[in-house]
Amino acid sequence: MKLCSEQELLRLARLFDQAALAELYDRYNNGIYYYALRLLGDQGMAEECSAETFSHLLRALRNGGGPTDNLKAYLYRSAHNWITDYYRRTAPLPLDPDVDLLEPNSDPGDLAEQNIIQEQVRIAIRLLTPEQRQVVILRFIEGWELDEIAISLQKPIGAIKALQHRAVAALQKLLLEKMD
Amino acid sequence: MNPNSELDPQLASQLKTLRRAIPRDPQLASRARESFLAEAAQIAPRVSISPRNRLDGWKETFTSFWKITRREKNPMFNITMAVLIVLGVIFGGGATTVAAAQTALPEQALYPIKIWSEDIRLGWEIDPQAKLDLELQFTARRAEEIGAMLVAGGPVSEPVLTRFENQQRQTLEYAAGMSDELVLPALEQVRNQARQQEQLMMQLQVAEPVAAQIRARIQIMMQAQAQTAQQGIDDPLWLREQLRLHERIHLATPTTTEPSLPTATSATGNNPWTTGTPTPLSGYGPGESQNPWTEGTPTPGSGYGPGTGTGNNPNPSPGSNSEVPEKLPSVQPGNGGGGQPGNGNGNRP
Repeated sequence: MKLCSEQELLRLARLFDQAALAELYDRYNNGIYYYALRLLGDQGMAEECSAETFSHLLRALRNGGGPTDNLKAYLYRSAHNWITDYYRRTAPLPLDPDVDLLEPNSDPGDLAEQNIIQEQVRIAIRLLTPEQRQVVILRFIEGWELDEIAISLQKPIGAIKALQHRAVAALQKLLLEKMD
Repeated sequence: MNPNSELDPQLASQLKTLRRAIPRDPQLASRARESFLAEAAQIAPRVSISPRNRLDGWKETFTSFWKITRREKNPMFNITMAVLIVLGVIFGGGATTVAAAQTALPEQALYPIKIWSEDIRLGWEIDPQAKLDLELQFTARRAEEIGAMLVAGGPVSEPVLTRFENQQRQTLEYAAGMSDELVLPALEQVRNQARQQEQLMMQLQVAEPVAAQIRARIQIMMQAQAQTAQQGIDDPLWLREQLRLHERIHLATPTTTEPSLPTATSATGNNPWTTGTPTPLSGYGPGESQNPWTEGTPTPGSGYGPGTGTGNNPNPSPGSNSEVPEKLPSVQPGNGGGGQPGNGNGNRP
């Protein structure tokens, strides 16, 4: 079943049409999963985040709530909130990230090096504020446009630009200046 | 525009590493999808909460207006509600009936309610001027009713005429009982209304002879009323004295002093106003003129009399007629014959 309109998809989803719900899931579930995986770095947590995000959507639709449009933004915002809560639940990172970010005894192989860099970036992103984190991921990893991010964060584009500017400055400080 | 071009190349390169991700486990993904659809099927809302509500839910919608949710039954609540409903029906219905009765005519069933409501209104009124205004208003109603009955050619019942006559006298009493500064305007009111009603009676188009006789009677009554009021304007003390004497007669002989007009329904062809034997207390009779007020027997001590009587009793004794307020416009049924003779020594014109 391929529904052309997101509005139509949402209308049928409110009626709990199984085909529409399956289409909705297939359209957005992988994106949510990888979004969570990039931030969390753990497949199991990413699966849990994805499942919770879509379960939250079902409950909202059942209670007459949920999105009226911009389903994609709604799902990413929901996933982001779940990740933020997860960050709050888990043990806080050391105040000085230098020790953890740089591991002189890491594996010199490409893959290992990539993994290390990836982990360093992930930790650095986690040190950002939730909104800065969401802007960085959606803008530079998922490749969203500024207006899409503005819809997702329910903020004006000017505020998104300011968030992006501060987030990039923080990442540079965390990742580049420490490496120099 | 590539967003990464906004970044420092080294930072962009580091962020790019996050794009590389381990491919998702297909089994986990498939299981997650099944779980999602199963949850959707489980929490999907049903058509209605229960078959019972779907069948008679509309009844609940209507009956819920009248339901009062109470934790326990209260007998006093039911009694109070019953009393309130009964009172509402009585007073609400009564008010409607009284309002509807205000246009009733004497032959109609609601007429007694109309008369009753008038008496109630007069009884509640305290202000003398307002009381006079009300009585004048009700007298005008009687005149309209009598006029309507005469035009219709129907009989005018005795109680209607009696009441009309009584109300006429009552207006005089109310006017005379007012304070000195108000008595003259009040008597002028009475006089003017009597004159106006006389004119209205004169303009009535009546075809039946009996109706014409009744109309003539009413006109004479109006003339007498206007004349009495005028004499009261000239000498209020005299009018008060006459009324006081009339009241004494009423109290002394209640069975014979209640004035009543001859009924038109008798249809004898004779005018009881001008024929028959006058009673000593009536004072009405043809005499020289049709106005018993000025042509009747003078009351000793009142100083009132026609001056040149034509009656057959030139020497009335105090015991026979001395305290009869013969000038008041009242008649006895079946009499109205010759007036009491004057003694010719009155000092009123």
